[in-house]
This record gives sequence, C-alpha cells and structure tokens, in this order.
Amino acid sequence: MTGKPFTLPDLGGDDSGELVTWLVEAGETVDDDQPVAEVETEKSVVEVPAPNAGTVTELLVEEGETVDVGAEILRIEADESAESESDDSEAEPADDSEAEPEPTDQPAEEVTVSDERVFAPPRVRRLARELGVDITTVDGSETSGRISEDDVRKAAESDREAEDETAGPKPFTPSGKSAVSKDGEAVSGAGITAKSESKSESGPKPFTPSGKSAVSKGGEAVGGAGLADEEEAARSAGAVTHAAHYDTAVVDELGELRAELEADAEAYGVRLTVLPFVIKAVVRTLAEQPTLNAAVDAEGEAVDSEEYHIGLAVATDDGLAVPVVRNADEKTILELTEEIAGLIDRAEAGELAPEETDGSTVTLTNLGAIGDEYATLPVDDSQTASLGLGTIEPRPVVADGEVLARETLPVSLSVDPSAVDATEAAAFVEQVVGYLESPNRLLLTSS
Amino acid sequence: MVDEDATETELLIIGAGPGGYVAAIRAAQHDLDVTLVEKNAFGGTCLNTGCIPSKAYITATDIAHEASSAELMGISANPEVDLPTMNEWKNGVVDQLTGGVEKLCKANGVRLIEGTARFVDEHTVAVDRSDKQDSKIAFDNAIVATGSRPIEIPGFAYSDDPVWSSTDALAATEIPDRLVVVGGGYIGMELSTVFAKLGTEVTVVEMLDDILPQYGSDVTKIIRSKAEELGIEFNFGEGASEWTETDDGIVVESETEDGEASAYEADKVLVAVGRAPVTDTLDLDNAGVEATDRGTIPTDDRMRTNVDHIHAVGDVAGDPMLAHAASKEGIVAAEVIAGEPAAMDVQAVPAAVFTDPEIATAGMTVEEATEAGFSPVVGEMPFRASGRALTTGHTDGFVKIVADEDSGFVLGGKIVGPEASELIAEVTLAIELGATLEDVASTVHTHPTLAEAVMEAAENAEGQAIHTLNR
Repeated sequence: MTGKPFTLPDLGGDDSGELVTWLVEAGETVDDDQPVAEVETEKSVVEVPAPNAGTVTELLVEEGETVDVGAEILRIEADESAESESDDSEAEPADDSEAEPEPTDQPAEEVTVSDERVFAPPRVRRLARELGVDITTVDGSETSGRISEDDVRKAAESDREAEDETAGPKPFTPSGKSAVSKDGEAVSGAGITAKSESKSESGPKPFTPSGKSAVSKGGEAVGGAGLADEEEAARSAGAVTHAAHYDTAVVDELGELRAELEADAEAYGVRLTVLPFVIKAVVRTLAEQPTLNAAVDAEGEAVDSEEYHIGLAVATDDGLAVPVVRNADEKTILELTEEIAGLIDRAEAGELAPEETDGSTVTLTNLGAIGDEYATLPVDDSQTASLGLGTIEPRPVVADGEVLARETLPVSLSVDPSAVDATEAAAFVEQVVGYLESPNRLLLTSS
Repeated sequence: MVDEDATETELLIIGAGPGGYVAAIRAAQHDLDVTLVEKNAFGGTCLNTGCIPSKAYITATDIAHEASSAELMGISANPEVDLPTMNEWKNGVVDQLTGGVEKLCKANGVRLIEGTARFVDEHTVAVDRSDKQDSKIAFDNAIVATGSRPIEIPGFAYSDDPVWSSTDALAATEIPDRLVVVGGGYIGMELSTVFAKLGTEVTVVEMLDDILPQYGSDVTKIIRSKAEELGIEFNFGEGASEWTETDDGIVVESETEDGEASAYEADKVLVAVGRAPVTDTLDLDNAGVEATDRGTIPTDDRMRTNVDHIHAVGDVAGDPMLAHAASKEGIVAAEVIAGEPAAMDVQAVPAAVFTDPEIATAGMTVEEATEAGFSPVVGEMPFRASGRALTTGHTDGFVKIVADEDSGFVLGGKIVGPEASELIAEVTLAIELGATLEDVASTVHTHPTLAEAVMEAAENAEGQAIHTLNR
C-alpha cells in the first residue's frame, strides 16, 4: 500500500497553478488540514491543505511544475487514529470518507436548489453548488440571460471579495489582475502562462474562457483587428462585462520634464521616475470624471469616491500584489516617488501590511514589463476602471505628414460598461493622454 | 476482497432497485465501502415485475397485433400466441438484466446481502436473512430505496386467484377471455392494451372521468380512440366495490358516486390503482426518520431525510414514482455522501406511457409555463405530416413543444405517437441545457426519421415550419 492519491483541489477559479514549494516531504506525518504545498495561481499563492491526517508516502510533482486542478500531486496513507476520530457521529458525510479530498480548502456553503426554472446547463449548475453560488442570483451573460460557467465563476469571485471586505483585508487581491514585475524581469507563475497562451492564438482574444486576464498583443487586438467598438471588444472578450479603450500618448515633453527635474529630485535623495507624473495625470482626470473612480459602500454598491487611492499591480516572487498609494491627489511628485519605491520594495519582499493593499479606487498595471503594449484588463468588482501602461519607447508617429520616431506611451483603459459609458471612457483616455502629452498643464490644478 | 460478514459499513443501502443499485455503484466508484441489502430480487420492481417485463410484453403483443392488422401493406397473417413461451422469453430478459445488475455491483466492490433490513438505531440496522442468522450492520450513512408495491383496495385481495396485481398480470400463463381492469392510469392502460392485443375483451373501470387525466384531453382522446379500436371498453366515474365468483368466472361490481351500480362479467380482474411506498418493514422510528401519513419519506434537494446521514430515493421518497427518477436520486444521494456538490436540480424529469400510441412528456405544460411567468408559445407537428410516420403505418399523434416567446428557451414538450418515449429525450436535453427553439430547429435531424417532428415543431413555434402551415 503506497497511500491514496491526493489531487490538486479547486484553487478558486483557476484551472491550474504552479507548485512553488513543497512544505512536506515523503515520509513526513501530517495533520488534517496541515498545509502541504504552496501553489501559485494567476491571482495568489494558495496553501494546499492535507486531505486528512496521515503519512505522506510520495510526492508526485516537482517544485516549479504547473499542475492542473484534479491532477494527483501526492500520495498519503491515512492515519488509523484519524479514521477513528472521524467516526464521531455528527461529522459531515464528506468527513466520513477519508478517500475523498476536500473539493476546496474551504468547502463551499451548501446552496439549496430553487424550484425556479434555471437556464444553465447541468455542469454549470453543479459548478455553482461547488463554489457555493446560488445560481438563481447569477446574471447570465449569454443570449436571453443563459448562465455560463464564466458567469458562475465571476459571481463566486465577487461573493468572495464581498466576504473579504467583511473578513478584513487580504494581502493579495482576489481578482485576476495581470501580473507584471516593475523591472521587466520574467514573472514566474500563471500570469505569464496565460499570456504566452494568448500569443499562440491567431486572433484577438483578450480573455481566456475562464475570464482571467490573458493579455493579447496590442498589434493584433488593436492595430490588426481594430477593436474600436467597445461592444465588439467586449463580445470577443466572452462577456459584456468589460470594455476597453486604447490610445497612445506622445510623451517627449514628459521625458524632458522628468530629465529636467531629475537633478533637483536627487538633491532630495529621490530617484525620479515617470510613474508619479502618470499618477498625477490620472488623478487629475479622475477628479474631472468621478464615475471612473469607484469605491464599494457598505451595501456592496460601487459609488463614486472622493478619495483617490491608486492601486499598483506588482508581480512578486510570491505572485501578484497590489499595493495602494493612498490619497494620491494630496501628495507631491516627490512624496509619490518615494512612496511608490517603498511600496514596490516591500511588495517584492512580501512585507506589505494588509492595509497597504486595501481599498484602491482604480488600478494601474505596467503592461510593458511583460512586453505588452495594450491589454484588456479585468476590472475589479469594487472598481469601475483599470488602466494599463505600455513601455515608453520610440515609435513611429505621423506629424505634419511625416513619419517621425517619438517617445510614446501606450495607454489601455478597461471599464465596467455598466458603470461607465463609452463616451465617458473615451473622454477619460483622451484627457489622460492630454495631460501626459502636456504635463505642465498639471501645474495649474495640481495640489 | 470484501468481507462477507462485515458488521460495519460506510454506506448501507436498503433496496436494490433502480434507485438503490445505481446509488451503490456510484458510491463504490467514489471509493466508499458499500453494503446493499435486498430482500427479494436484485433490480427491484422495475426489472423484475415492472418496466422491463411489461415492455417485453408490449413489444411481443405489438408484433402479433401488427402482423394481424397489416392487410393494407399486403400482409395477411393470423399469429398464434403461446403465452407460456412468451412468458419464458420475458423471464430470460429479466434474468439477464438482474444478473447483470448483480455482477455490476460485485465488480464495483459492493457487498450484497439478501435479507430484509430494519433500523435498530440511527447508525445500525438488523438484517433478517433467509439463508443465515440475522445480523446487525453498523453504518455511517444509509440510503433507503425500498420502493413501492401495488395498492390493494377493499374487496380485492391479491391473494385471491382471480384478482391480479400488475405483478400477477405480468406472470400470467393463460390469456383470459375477459378482463376487468380497475384503474385507467398508466399501468392499467399499458396492460389493458397488452391483453386487448392478445384477444382479451378488456373493460376498464375508472373512478375519474378520463384515462391518464394528467396528460390533457389532446392526448387522451388519441389514446382512448385507439384503445376503443382495439375493443377496450371504458366505464368512467365508477369505483370497483367487490367481485364475486360465478359459474362462468367472476363478476366485478362497481358504483358511481351517486350509488348507481354496474356489474361486469370477467375471468380476471386486474387492480392497478397506484403504488404505495414500502416503509412498514423499516422501523423508521428507531432511526428517528419521519414519514408522511401516506408512508413516503420526505427528503430535501440532497435526498436527505430529516436525519442528515440517512437518505431516501426512488418511490419511497414520493413522486415522481419513476425508475429513471429513482436512479437520478440514487446518484445524487451517493455523490452527496461522497462529498460531491451534487443535488437534485434537474429541470425536467421526463415521463413516458407505453400505450398505443405512446405518450411522453418533459418539462412544463403551457399552463405551468404561464403560471411560472413565461409567455409560452407552442409549436406543433402532427405525425400525419411526417414521412417516416407514414411509412410505419402509425400517424396518430403529434409533437408539441412549449417555449418562452421572448427568450426562445424550450420549456417543455408533449409527444403522442410512435416512439414518443424515445423522442422525448431530445426535448429533455434541450430543457436541461437551456437550449432555444432556434437551437433545436437549427440542428440537422436525420431524414427520414420521427425525430424530424421535434425539429419541425420547434420551427412551427418560430412560425417557419416547412412541412406544416404555420397558422
């Protein structure tokens, strides 16, 4: 007898994850629910608990391997004493059978089947039960409101976020942001997997079937197919819950301004980057267009926020972190620069305090770090907009009938179309680009 | 290897019919240690004395009847029916199936025990075993799948030779000349048809004023008219009160609500007034399991009784008393016990009646759809417009499909006609998947088949059927 196989449980929506670290080795005895491995998904690092007390007889996966949900990862021989313990009569049926792995680390709460007619295939209805979602409360995104697997996963995610709100802040955002590292270093984990998959696709496909952020190359999605119409973009995204706008800012002036101020900043001991200027441009535009700056109120409704908390998606060795620059409107360029550097350092070291990742009203993602120019990004349920920035580099720009190489910054805005209409989104992008192209205008209004 | 005398089991299942044996196999597939107790015959009512033997008889008698009524096709025949041989053949079919069930259970590692189980407490049963000493079995979880038995009515004891239950009718070795059938439900109508086709003079006595009233008059008028062609005589609004023996067989007496009496001469009387759940042998009280006055055990959507670790499936858990419902419920119970996210969440449980022609339904009727807040639209395709139906010589009946006008979602279907029991599967799938009329209508159906009628009905609902006028 070599022990019963234990399969990778549901990771909360992702189909697979990278097994980063084994926390146990063969021959080790483990307690029920003791973490046995760390698995990194697109969203976070998850500790996988042992299915039962016993002895690990064999590890079936190498560290660093990507594992599908349901694949066997180890073998475990059940502990005799653990079996007799579970004979307690009040135990849940599932606990009585030590052969059955818990479907998730936290079993979903049981959802009662409604008498109402539900328009969703059996597998989707089963998934809803598995994720603890009452399917009668899910808005179907398919024709006439038929409910898809994606809709259920999204509902589960937003339920979980709502719970997180009440349960206190978590170090990682549960929504699927695209992972990027600030210095362009290759990011390990699901973010890159999803991206390289999308590269092999022939056509534009900003979303994977599970609705996670698979990033498509700007050249294909925008230049090629031309997703000018945001409804079209949303349709190809598989669900009409995201719409995206793309534009490019010519930022020669911004580069000059940064260079000009660099020496002065150094005198304050600060290494000046372009990012604080971008944040200023965004905050200023948000003040003019509050529908894109949202916070979630007590009832779980997104309302326009009068505070400007800018989330920065940062890839770390342990997955994605989104530290938040609070009240960005009240801070100077120098203060922002220092704060960003500190947040990113702590994020990479895994030392962010929970409150440092909580409550952002809009998220910025550095697409350039993973080699992308444009991307449709998932919009966090607590927000209405998500902004992606490409790399600043010389690109051909037509000016006065001539093609010139100019420093440009690709800007992607993804919005929740139910909260932000196309005109607002387009105006927002235009205004941000305007401030980025003429950064001196920020002096007039900036605090 | 399983231990034959084990006194402990993770899952105890009482009853090896289509609810119990299916649950046992599914639970074993989930690595549960399963013990299945059966007091009589593996396969339960369905395989031994219900669906399977009755369908065997229906098919056999159809062959005889068709052969003798195909002059129009140029076939003249006067088939001779040897009932004992037919019975033997039917028993062979039953044996093959029940033997298969037993083998499947064993191959899946299910421990089989012959005997009658009764609860001692909420985690123990005692099994009265015919072959061995009584034994006690401790269980973590249990599934009660004891099924149902034919209801007996006052004045008609099945122990009396001329009084048949459906079980007796399916074991008959002699064709009665005259048969009174008490009850115009699906069992009464299926068996009336079988015996009418064997040449028996059949008289149906039904308390209500129609046969199979739940299917609606558009269905029953077709069934009644065909039955009358076969010589079946209907007497509605009458309840059978008693039978008496005469020199020349028996007389069955009946009464209307107003007290008006009638008498029907016969050789046998078949009582088919419904089935009652089997709970009296279980000592449910000892386990704290509640049952209704009717004897059914109420369950929740996970097939749990009021005692969480004891489930009930199939006829004993109440309507619909259908084998396929029992199997689905058995799968749900087994998976729930194995910790899976299963639940009885089906959108439609199809039902079929193997009369001539057959009836099959799934999902909502127009009335139910309206009540549920939909704006129903109905598409219809009569079989007389189906090429395939014409070539079978059976053109009575129709396919009706009910859908929501706004969304196009298929909500229900009602089919009367040849192979209705098979055709309903497509409608049921459409309902479960949340398919629309357009989905069904756009699916290419083989020509020439009866199944095309489902597609045509969907197209008719959309106002664009090809083979009927869309009025």
